[in-house]
Formats: sequence, structure tokens, C-alpha cells
Amino acid sequence: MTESREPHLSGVPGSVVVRAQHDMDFATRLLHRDTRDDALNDPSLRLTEDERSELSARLDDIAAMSFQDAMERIRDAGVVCLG
Amino acid sequence: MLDRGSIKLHVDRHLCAALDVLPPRVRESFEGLLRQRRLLTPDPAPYFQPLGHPLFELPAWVAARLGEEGVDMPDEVVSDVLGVSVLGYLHVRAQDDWLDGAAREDPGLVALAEALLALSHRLLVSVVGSSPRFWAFYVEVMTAYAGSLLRADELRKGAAPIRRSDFEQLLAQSRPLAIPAAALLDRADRWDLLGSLEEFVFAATAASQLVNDLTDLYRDRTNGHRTWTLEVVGASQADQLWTEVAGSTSGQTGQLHQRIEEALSFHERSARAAHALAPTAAGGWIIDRRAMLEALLGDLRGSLLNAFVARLARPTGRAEQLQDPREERAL
Repeated sequence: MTESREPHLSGVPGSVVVRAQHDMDFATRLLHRDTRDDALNDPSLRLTEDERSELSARLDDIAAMSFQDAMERIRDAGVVCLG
Repeated sequence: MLDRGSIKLHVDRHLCAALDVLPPRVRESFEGLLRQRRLLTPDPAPYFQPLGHPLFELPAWVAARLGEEGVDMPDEVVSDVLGVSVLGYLHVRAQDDWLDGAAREDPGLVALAEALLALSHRLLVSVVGSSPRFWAFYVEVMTAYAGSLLRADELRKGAAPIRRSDFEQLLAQSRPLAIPAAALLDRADRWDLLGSLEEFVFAATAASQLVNDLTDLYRDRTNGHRTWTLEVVGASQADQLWTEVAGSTSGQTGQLHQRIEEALSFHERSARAAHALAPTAAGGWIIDRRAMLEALLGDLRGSLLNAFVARLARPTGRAEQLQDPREERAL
């Protein structure tokens, strides 16, 4: 379990990354600001209070970048126009 | 009515014919433009985008409507008109890329634009001959286009806010999109439908452009390009837009929702024009585009969640937030 708590390259603990990859409901709660704290308080993640508070701002940054990815995906789906 | 496979065949035939006659250096620029626009490939998807302008469907719709009224349009005429559609479109793209794109220093694009215009003129003459009515319209459209091209450049370089009136004024750049179908109307002596055709092109392009400006929001911000959409959303607020998509209720009143509502409003306007122009043939496209616009926020929500999960495991730094994702992919 220690291994999964190692910070991932994104700065997010491995336990959170792995859980989000396998549980879309958890990923959704992690994405939403209103439900994020509740998701991170899950004891199975074994996060300290400091880790949780640092993580929330980091997840906002990742969400903002992810939204640019999502817009880009819609763009790449093809819009033929003058712009 | 021509099906999409037949339309693509005609379009590709004209692209190949153009490649055959262009001098090597100009041909090189043309091949680059075709790659960029994903044309002349086996994939039909780039030719027919429900969220884009129905560049190749529009002449086919008009030909079908005229056919329903007993006006027969020979295949070679419809084919030549489709050639005008693709060569005219790429003429505009070459000019715009030279004015606005990364290839601004490439004189090949200017040469290519000239050559494509000449090739499309030859095709137009085969459809309308020397019709004074058509060529007067052509001159009016292309001079308005020229004025709009420079107005867009002024706006890009200036500091004044870009408002809805500027956005609509700049849509004069889309007027050449009416030329191919207008040639059919002239040939069939149904010039009375020109108003509906121009209204359709204006409103359909406005809807496309709004979606385009929305999805290009971050690229435009990074590159310092100003648009009505970026003005309304606010460059500094753009990084908070994801909260509207992630949230379950705010999406009904937020900035993204409002921009999509604007696009839908223009779409409904284009649907009314299409009803007058080609009610039978355009029906499916109108329904498909409305459905895609209505689903856009939901699609973004699904894409955001998938991208979020993927991003969680990727090495990222805060500075990356300011970078154009396409530039990032190119590294």
C-alpha cells in the first residue's frame, strides 16, 4: 500500500490516481469541487490532512488543463468554417 | 440527390486536377493546405462536419431542389460547382492562413490563392457563361469579402473590444460560400432564391464560427487573437470555465451555455432559410446539427472527465496551463 501512496508524476498520490482510473464515480466526485473533500476523505486513500489540502488546489489546475484538452477534442472532431 | 460518396468523388477529382496543373512550388503549398484540412484522403469525415459549414452539401441540396421542380442539372454542372466549392474554400483558407496563421511568411500561399481563384473562375464560366446577373453578384460578394478581410486584420491588431456587431460584420468573409449554389440558381433562372441562400450562408456560418471560437478559446488567448467569444467570456475567466461543465446545475446559466445558445439561435435562423431554399434535402442536416449543438455541453462534460482521469497520471507543471495543447502535442 505504501507504494500506491507515492506521489504520481502529476503530483497526485498514486492511490488517488489508481482509484480514479478504476472508479468513474470517484473520479467524478474528485472533479467536482462540491464533492471533492468528501472523496478525498475516503479512509482507504490514507491521505493526511496536509496532503488533502494541497491536493485540492492541484486538482483545480489539472481540471482546468483537462478542460482545454476537452475543448481541443471537440475542435479536432472537425469544424469546417472560415476561422 | 448526390450521396456523400459521390460528392466526395467529384470534390477529389477537382483537387487532383488542380494538383496536376499547379507549378511545383505552388503545388507544394497546395499539398500542405490539403494535409492541414485533411482533404484528398480516404476519410470522408473532414468533408462533412455537422458542426461546420455544409460546404459540399449546399450545392447538392440546391441541385436536388431544382431537380424536384423539373430543372435538370447535368452531372458535369453539379461536379463543376462542387469544384468551385472546394477550390474557392481553399482560396479563402490560403489567404487567411497567410494573414493570420503561423505560415504568414510563406509567399507560396499568396501564389496558391491566386491560382485557386483562376481555376474556380474557369469552372464558374462553364456553369454560368457570361451571365451579367451572376457576375455582378460575384463582384459584389468578392469586394465585400476583400473589405472584410482587411477589417478583420485591423481588429486583430487593434485594442478595441470585439462586439457582436463586429462579429456579424466580419461574417462578410463567409459570403463567397454562397457563390457555388448561386451559380446553380442563375443557371436555373431561380435568382429569386438568392436571398434565402445568402441568409442561410450567413446564419449557418455564424453558428459554425461561434462553436469554432469557443473550442479555439485557449489557442486564441495564447496567440493573442481576439474574438467576440473571448471578449464575452473574459481571458482571465477562461480558466474557470471547467467548473461550469463539471457542475450539474450551473451549466444552465453559465457562459458556455450562453455561447451554445447563441449558436443554436443562429442555427434556427439558418434552418428557416434552408426551409425556403431546399426544404427536403437540407432536413436531415438541420436535425443532426441541432442535436449536436444541444449535446455539446454534455459531450464536453464527458470529455472533461476522461481528460481529467488521463491528466491525473501525467507529468504536468502549472506553467503548462498557459500553453496551447496543440503546441504541446507538436513538441
